[in-house]
Order: sequence, then structure tokens, then C-alpha cells
Amino acid sequence: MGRLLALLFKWRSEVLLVFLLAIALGLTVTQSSHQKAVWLSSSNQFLGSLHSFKATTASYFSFKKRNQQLQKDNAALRAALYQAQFEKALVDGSMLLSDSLNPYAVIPAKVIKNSVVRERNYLTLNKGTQQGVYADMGVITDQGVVGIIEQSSANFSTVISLLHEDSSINASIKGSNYFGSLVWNGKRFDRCQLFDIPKTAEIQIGDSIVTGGMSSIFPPGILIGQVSQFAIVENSSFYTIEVSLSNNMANLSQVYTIDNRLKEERLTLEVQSND
Amino acid sequence: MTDYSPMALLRFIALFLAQVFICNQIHWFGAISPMILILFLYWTPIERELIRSMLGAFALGLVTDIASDTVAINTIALTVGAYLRPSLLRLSYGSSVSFHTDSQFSGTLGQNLVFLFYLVLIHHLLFFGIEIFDLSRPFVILSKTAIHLPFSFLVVALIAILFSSQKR
Repeated sequence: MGRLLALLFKWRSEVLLVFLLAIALGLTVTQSSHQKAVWLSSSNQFLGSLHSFKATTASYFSFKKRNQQLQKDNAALRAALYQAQFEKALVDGSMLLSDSLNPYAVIPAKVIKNSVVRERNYLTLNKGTQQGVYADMGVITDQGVVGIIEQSSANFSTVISLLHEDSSINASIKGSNYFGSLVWNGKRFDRCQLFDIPKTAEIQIGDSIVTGGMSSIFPPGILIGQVSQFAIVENSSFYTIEVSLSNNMANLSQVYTIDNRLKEERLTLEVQSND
Repeated sequence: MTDYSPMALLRFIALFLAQVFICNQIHWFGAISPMILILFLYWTPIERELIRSMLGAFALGLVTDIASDTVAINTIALTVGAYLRPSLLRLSYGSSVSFHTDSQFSGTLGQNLVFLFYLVLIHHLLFFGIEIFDLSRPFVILSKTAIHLPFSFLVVALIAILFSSQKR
């Protein structure tokens, strides 16, 4: 201990310099949006490259399994596409989907970093602005919702996971028009909590929870999970619902980012209406 | 040399006020504001303990940044400048500087100006480096430094000469 103190005393100027610079740099990065953006972008870029290398190396060992998963995804998506085209053809005789009728663009991406053990969990994807992935786009898998893009650099993006204490997603019970907010209490990585569903709603264990139509980020009806428990808090008019997530959040690989092309138009209109 | 603290405080306040209320309001060619805070390190006595010098520079940078809305950029530039100051002194005045018991005004005008130039250069490189905060754009950092440096150096040199002659 004495030697450590002597060493610190000997290098006191350098220790003080590092301490003062840490304070000043901390202030710079947290108080200035430009420096903050550059800092996050740089760290994204650096860590993204590192994790990309790690993920590429690791992916060689699970090709077979991932190929099977991709084939299943493709099959399901093609089925959905054919069904949509068929239904549309029945309505107006056209097989073409214009942008205005198909407002959601879907971009596949790969998870190169994921965490589930923190209170604020993030994922890193291998797609960024150069590939059309921007902040506030939704992220899903074929199993269900994953999160929302928070930041994008040129080639990488960070995603606020469902397992983030600040995450709040508009959700509803499948087949009903009751909407609530899906949040995470930080306890189990396979469970989220749904609030604000009024007690007049009929709920059963096993009911599907899907994204609600009030969300400007996700299309309505994307699976989130199933009701595993529910209760009405005393003197409350709302359910507290425990949702078992359909995604295994600890084992994510292939995801899809969803861009709602009509989001800006919708939000602008809603802001104008509120004013 | 025991009467430096009130003098240092006076310089601290004067430089802060001059930077915030005068220099920050000057915009030569629409963009160039002279930065004179570095005079604090120029006027700091040679024998001033490094830690006190760094703390003084940090405090001056911080209050100026708060008043100028420059988020700790001056703080970093001045603190690093204070840390490098002994090396810059030796570089400008030679190794005998450590034996001086008076401030750097005992050097020749040329030595003083060289020392001042080093201080302004370090300050500006750090200032614009942190402001741009992107090492992949070194040309922008160097060009901004090159544009601002002559103006800041001219102003601080004039102030330094003016006050040093008054002192003499």
C-alpha cells in the first residue's frame, strides 16, 4: 500500500492530468451533441468491426443450422408474400405492390453483438446507413419483435433491445383493439410486462401479444410473445400482464429491420393535429 | 515570489473577462476569434508547482467554457498546455530555465515569443482537435489551426509585450 501511494505520489502530475482530462472529456462527450454523436459513432465503428470479425469467425461453425433457419424464414416469407399478392389480386386485379400500398421496407441484417444481462441491453447489427438502416427503424426476427434502432454509423447500427429498461413498445392482444405498453422490469430475459390493458378486456394465458396499430415503427400484428401470467392490481382498472417473449433474446442471429416509409408523414400529421 | 496568488487570481479574472466579453465577440473575416487564455500559462511563474499550474489552467478553461458554451474544449487544451509547459520552457529557453528563480520575462524577446508560439500552437491544435473530434479529418484540424493561429498569436504577443514592458 505504501509503495502504491509512493508510486502515485511520484506520478502525481500524470495522475492529475488523466483525472482532469477524464472530467473534461466526460463533459465534452455528454454535453455536446456533436462530440457525443462522433464518440458513439467512432465507438460503434471500432467495436462493430471487432464484433464483426468475431461473429464472422464464429459463424463458420454454425452454417448448417443457420442455413436451415434461413430456409424456414424464406419459406414463411414467400408464403406470406404469395398470400398478400393473392388477396390483393382478388380486390383490384393487380399483382403489383406500389410503395404507397406497401409502406414497410424490410432489410435483413445480422446480429454481431448482443447482451441480455444488463439493465440496458443493446444489440449491434452489421448494417448501417449505407445499407439503408437508420435510427428509429424496428427490428424483428421471424419469431417476433427484437427492438428499435438507436444509432447508425455507415456500416453498423445499435439496437435498443426489448430488454432495456427505457424500452416501451405499443402492443395489443391479438384479435382485440386493446392497446398497452410493453416494458421490461430487468429481471428475466425471456419475460416482458404489458401495462395499461383495461380490465374489461378478456385475457387468457397463452393469448398472443402483438405490436399495436398505434406504433409508427412496427407494422401492426407482429408477434411479441404470449401471456404467461396476468393480474389486476388492487384498486386499479388495468391488468399487469407477464409476457413470455416469442424470441429467444439470448440467441439472435438473423434479423430484419423495418422502415416505415410513411412514418414521417404520419408523425407530422399527428403533431399538427395535436397543435 | 510569495505574492503570486493575488496576482494569479487577478490574471485569471482578467483573462476570463477579456476572452468571454471581448475576444469571443470579435469575428475577423466572419469566423476568427482570437484566443488569449493561453497567456495564463505564459504569465505563470516558472517555479510554480506543476499541479497548481494545471489546476489553475483547468479552472480557467472550465469557467470560460461554461461562459462560452464550448463544452470543456478550452479546459482540455489549457490543462494539457499546463502539463507540457515545463517541456516547452526548456525547449524555448534552454535547460538552464530550471535554475531561474524569476518568471520567464527574464528571457530575451525572441525566446519569449518562441515560448508563446509553442503555447498557442499546442492550445489551438488541441482546441480544434477536440472541437472537430474526428481523427480521420486531420486536414480540417490543421487548416483551422493554421487559420486561427496567426491572429491569436498576434494578439497574445501584443498583450504580452505590452504588459511585460509595463512591468519592466
